[in-house]
Amino acid sequence: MAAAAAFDFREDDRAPVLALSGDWTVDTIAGAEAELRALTERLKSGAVVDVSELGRFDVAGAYLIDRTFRESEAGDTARIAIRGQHVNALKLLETARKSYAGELVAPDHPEGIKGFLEIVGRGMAAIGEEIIETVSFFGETLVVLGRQIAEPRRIRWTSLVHVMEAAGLNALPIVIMLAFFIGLVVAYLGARILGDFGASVFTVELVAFSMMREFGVVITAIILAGRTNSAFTAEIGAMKMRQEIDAMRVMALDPMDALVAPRVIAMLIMMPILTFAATMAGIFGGLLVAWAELGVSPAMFLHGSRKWSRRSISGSA
Amino acid sequence: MSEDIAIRVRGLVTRFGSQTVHEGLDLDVRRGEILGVVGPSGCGKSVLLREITGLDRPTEGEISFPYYEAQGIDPRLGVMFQDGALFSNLTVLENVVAPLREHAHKISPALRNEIAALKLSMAGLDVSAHHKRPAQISGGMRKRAAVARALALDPELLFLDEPTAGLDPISAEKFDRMTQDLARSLGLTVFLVTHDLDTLYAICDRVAVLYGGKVAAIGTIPEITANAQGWVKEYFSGPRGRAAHAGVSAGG
Repeated sequence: MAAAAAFDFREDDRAPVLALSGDWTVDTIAGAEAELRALTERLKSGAVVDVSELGRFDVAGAYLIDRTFRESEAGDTARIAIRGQHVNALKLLETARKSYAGELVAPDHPEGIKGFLEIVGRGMAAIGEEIIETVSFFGETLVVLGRQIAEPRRIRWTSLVHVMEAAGLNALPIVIMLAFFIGLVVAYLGARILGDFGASVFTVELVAFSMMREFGVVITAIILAGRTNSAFTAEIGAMKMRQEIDAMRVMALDPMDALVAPRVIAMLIMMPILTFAATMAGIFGGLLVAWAELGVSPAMFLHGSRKWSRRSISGSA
Repeated sequence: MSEDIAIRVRGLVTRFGSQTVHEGLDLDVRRGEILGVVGPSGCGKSVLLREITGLDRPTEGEISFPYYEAQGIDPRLGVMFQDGALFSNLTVLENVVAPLREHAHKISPALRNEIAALKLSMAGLDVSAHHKRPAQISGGMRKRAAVARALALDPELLFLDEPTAGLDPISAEKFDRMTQDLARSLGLTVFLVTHDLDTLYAICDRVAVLYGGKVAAIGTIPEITANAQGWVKEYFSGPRGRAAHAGVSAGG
């Protein structure tokens, strides 16, 4: 199998001889690098490379040998003389020599305090641009929506219904599941902590109030922002990359009309429906805990929460 | 000579649902040759490439690398995808360094960069392109950078998917020349999927024609055209085929 790169440097006869052995490939040259560096000063012009013991050889190995010669006293004019037979050593050494492109240049990264200020400045400018872009996109969306209300035949019904299904209906299971577990946990915590005050019966109110006022909406919003809207971004981004958006523009189809408006309208329709589903699921979770932990029957639970829902809607709570 | 076969494909069947792409395909790629693979669109050239490189699994059949298996080594594969598939968040140089950093991590970073620069230079990109991002360079340069990345670990087998598609004729010819130089100087075996008849005539040692799920013909171009039938005949003796042939005869 692969043997580590090794070499033997002899200066006994007229010309110094660098005898290579083992494999000199990208996998094996790591060990020889430092030693070869040290050898650079001792290489004189007229040095000979003995390849008769050399195993596998590749461009990386050839480059390392070539670099050693190039950096030696002989300089880059030094022709590398080869002794011995090898399948590809001569060819690869020639290739490495011929293709050497010169010193590497470092990328011009900003450095020091000036560089730091530059990065901060660029960051601020980017935030500024982002704000302007976001606001103008929002404004454009409103204009497009207004135009669609004025002219309902511009609305893409097929697309709208499709997005309502894909982004709304298909989000139902995860919204319901998350809200259910949160209702469960709120009820459980409420039962425990309110129990310390002997007020565990108010768990019903706690669940109904928190689900209707806060969690139902927030959970739905988080799911829609995280799941649905990143799916929109990926979808439209892929369309942009495949030039589908450009194709629409060329056909005088407004991408705002065809892509953005159906998604916004679909979300506006689905959001309340999903919020309702989330609230119901959360209350159901709380109901189960109240039933199991506190012995509050479902009928009593619903009665308690109905009172709260009325007050919650009228805003008198 | 079976020990000189770099890639051997036997009885390859590929089905996607009810659609059959390969129907008992046999192919031998000899070590050190440039094999051009042609065929009508949708005949499974790219799928064959993906199956040989292990990206897709064939439904049935066997793909082996007899020459390398006889020596007990796994051949290294380098693949250039059609649009380069460079990592867009890395610079050109970093793209070529990436495989070295993953698989040859013992080499010092400085030497790694130098090896990557050498590969880029072999592919025809000079120092000025090193710190550009893939989006900032032309399609031709992207393809060259992709070849440099494919060669980063000195593979034995190089796969090129439509290397000259989308290049202007002069760049395409230079690219062909580069492929040939690299293949000869590094002793590569090249599996080249193409539609470009000029490429076939200019640099391919042998050509395999995929048609109807099988290799319809394989050999040097004169061997193929000598007893070509059906699609193969149409392909090589259509107006474009004749023009490419005339170009080679006139240019030597």
